Amino acid sequence: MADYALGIDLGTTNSCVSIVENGKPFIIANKTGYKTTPSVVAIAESGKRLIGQLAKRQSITNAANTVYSTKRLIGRSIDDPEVQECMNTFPFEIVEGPHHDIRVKMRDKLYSLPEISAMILSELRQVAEEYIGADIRQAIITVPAYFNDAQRQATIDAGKIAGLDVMRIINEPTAAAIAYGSQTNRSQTIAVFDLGGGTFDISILSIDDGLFNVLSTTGDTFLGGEDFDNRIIEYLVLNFAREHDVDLREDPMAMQRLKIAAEKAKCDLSELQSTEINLPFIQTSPDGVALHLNATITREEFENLVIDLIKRSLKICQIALMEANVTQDDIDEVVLVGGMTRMPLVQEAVSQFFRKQPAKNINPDEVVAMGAAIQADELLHQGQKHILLDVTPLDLGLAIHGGKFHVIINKNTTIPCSNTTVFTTSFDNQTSLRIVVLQGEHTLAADNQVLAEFTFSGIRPAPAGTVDVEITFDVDADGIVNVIARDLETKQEHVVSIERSSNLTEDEIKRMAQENAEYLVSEKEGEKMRNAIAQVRNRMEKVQKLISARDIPDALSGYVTAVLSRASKAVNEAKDIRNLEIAMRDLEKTIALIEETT
Amino acid sequence: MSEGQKMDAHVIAEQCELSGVDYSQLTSLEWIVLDLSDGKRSFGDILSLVPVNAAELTAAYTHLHQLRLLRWEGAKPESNTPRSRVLDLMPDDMEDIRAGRRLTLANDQSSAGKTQLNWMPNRMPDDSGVNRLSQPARLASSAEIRTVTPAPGACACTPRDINDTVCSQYLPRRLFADFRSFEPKLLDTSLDLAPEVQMFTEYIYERLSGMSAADLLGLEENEITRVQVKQAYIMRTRQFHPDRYFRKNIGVFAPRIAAIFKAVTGAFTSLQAKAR
Repeated sequence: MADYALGIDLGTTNSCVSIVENGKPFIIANKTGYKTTPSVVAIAESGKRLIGQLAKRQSITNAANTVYSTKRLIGRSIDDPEVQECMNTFPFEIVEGPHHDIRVKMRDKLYSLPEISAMILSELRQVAEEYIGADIRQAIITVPAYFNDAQRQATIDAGKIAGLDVMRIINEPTAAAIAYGSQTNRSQTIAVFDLGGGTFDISILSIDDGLFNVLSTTGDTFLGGEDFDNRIIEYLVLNFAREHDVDLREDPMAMQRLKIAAEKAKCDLSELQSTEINLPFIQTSPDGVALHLNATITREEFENLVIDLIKRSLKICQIALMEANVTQDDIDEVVLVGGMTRMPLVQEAVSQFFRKQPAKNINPDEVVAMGAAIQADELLHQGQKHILLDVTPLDLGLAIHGGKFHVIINKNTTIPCSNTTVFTTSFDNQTSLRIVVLQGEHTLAADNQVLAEFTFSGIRPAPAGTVDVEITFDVDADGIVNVIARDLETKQEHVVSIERSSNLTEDEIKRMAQENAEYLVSEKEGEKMRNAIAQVRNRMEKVQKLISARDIPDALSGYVTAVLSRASKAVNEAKDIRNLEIAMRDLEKTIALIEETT
Repeated sequence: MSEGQKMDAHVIAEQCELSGVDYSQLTSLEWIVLDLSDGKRSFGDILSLVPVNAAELTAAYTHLHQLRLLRWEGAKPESNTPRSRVLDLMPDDMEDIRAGRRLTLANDQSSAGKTQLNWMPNRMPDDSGVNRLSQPARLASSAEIRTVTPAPGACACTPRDINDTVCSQYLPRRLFADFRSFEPKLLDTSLDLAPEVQMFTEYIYERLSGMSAADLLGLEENEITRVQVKQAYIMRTRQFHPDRYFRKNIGVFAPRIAAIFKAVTGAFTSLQAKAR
């Protein structure tokens, strides 16, 4: 059981699961046969969960109960401006949770975002377990490099709810680099350009003799394929409004259809020079006439709509190079990750910027999951093939006097790491120090994310600036931050371990995990029940056919009737699987008897 | 056991309680056998770890058994061989012996790859991709095994010598003497951490504040080029990155290993900048 560990790429639009078997990573296809699973979850009228392709297919007719792109919301608080924007555009309902967090509504039930992610994780886990034929608990889940602590913790919570033991959270570009680097022995510096469904990441790594050293990583959590889709939607909505004077944004169903059409058009335009979008009966005009949306988009038009997004990504690439202290010429290879990098203009921009063609023969949709699986396998078996030196994604520090952010550990520092700064009191007779631990990149304390707050007291009353308190930040290999405050005079110490600021309590997670497990079990039993019913029905039909085709001796006919009525009762009740099994056995016996005697 | 007769590969030997034995009469090989006999590794396992053939290893086992240092199921009852004399004096020529007659583990680079005693191989693992120490018994064919050429002179080693031979690859020469005089306090056999690793870790940790960047990376003063600094850092990372011990029971060594890794990373950064 402990022999396998999953690598899961939990994406904004698509997710993917991989496992290392015989030393090689494999992508496991889902129940519908695809190697990637749309990160879409829906609840059907029957209460059944629909995940992936199944959920996406019914999203037009069931828009209010279909949830997608939750990765854009996970780990954020309700008043985050990004969340507010999503609340305006998403067709499903987003409400405030008990911890100032976000809940989404499906069929009148509220779900936390980790629960939604857990449904996708459970599905991927199930698929993998069926493939391997054993229980698998351990997994590595990837997140965008730029995710902050709360977002990472929410992802771990999702894993827990899905019953997984999350060995570690690793960054998507790093995972991609591992998958790429494990195929080559050359020492080299690579850039991983990851333009996914919702986020953009760029990482610079050096690979030497199995050592993966992340030199810098940076990105934008709100730049991805969906922004490209939205540009197409805006363009179509605007043109439609000009033509018919109707605002489609007010109609959730029309927007859902537009969303799917826009995504398809975007993909088509990677291959074709122009594509048509036809959405008949999309609206009715104020005077009751059915309106159709018919539009043509050329590749050039599309490129003009999104050129600024691509320029934004290149600007971030420049920052990443500067932070890694390298230039374009030092980069030996560029690895493209994420479906969005299939767009010809993105490829052109990347090869212009790095002055080289990106690496071929890498599947941008699968490489992240593969890398995660390789790393999970490495941690599990200590195969000594490679070691990953990851970095802190954001600056870590304290809020200091005057509302400023004082950085103690710079972003892109190799972890594990620690650093110490000596602080002093800022008022006369100050006996306590309020310590606010922050993560972020803004100079003003208030603009950064608060990881923890505590008070260090017992300081000797003295004039301002005369008592020194030493504050040490320590980040371990899992990325967990410990803050140690020490009074240099009294040697008194205060240690705070920041068990990541989760939006859910332990009890809530436990309860959600139990609910999820119960659902999966009942689902499994339901399926067994359905199978049993189908089998019994099939045998009943066979008996009926035999009766009508052959002469049944009177002695037997009473028995056959009894068996049939019992079987039909078991089927109609559909309560106890044992009754169905008994009915099945009796029917088999009956068939054998009839065949023998007639 | 008579000359030429070989032991069964599945025999698992364990150490007896030590009692007033003259350790100086043990060969390096016997020390290593003693060290590796943790009650889990079989004869075959140990054979795959040391650069000798089965007959030589059998001889070492037999000698250790005679000295009542090692026992295993099915071993002949202790014969009447005289109990070894109680150690009274360290030989005067100890330093010479150390310098001269050592197992060829450390000095002979060609055998270093085979021995696997370098507990954190600084090269890619063998084709199986699995750490050999955790592999089930695997008898190497005798052709694969390098025999140790017996060195001239008396053969006497102390427990320190094993660690010397193991760690000489990882320390600059100027620290050998200091390392020899170092007394480990923490050795704990219940941990998932080989004794030699514990000893080396403790040594580096105790000396951490006094070590130069070159010391930390195990570099000689004349070796500080960008390439060598990088190579040394990769080796140290394989030894001391906490991921090497992911969810392993390494007790008090966990914070020490993390502290060493942080210091090594600092040393690498500063030397890398200097070498630029």
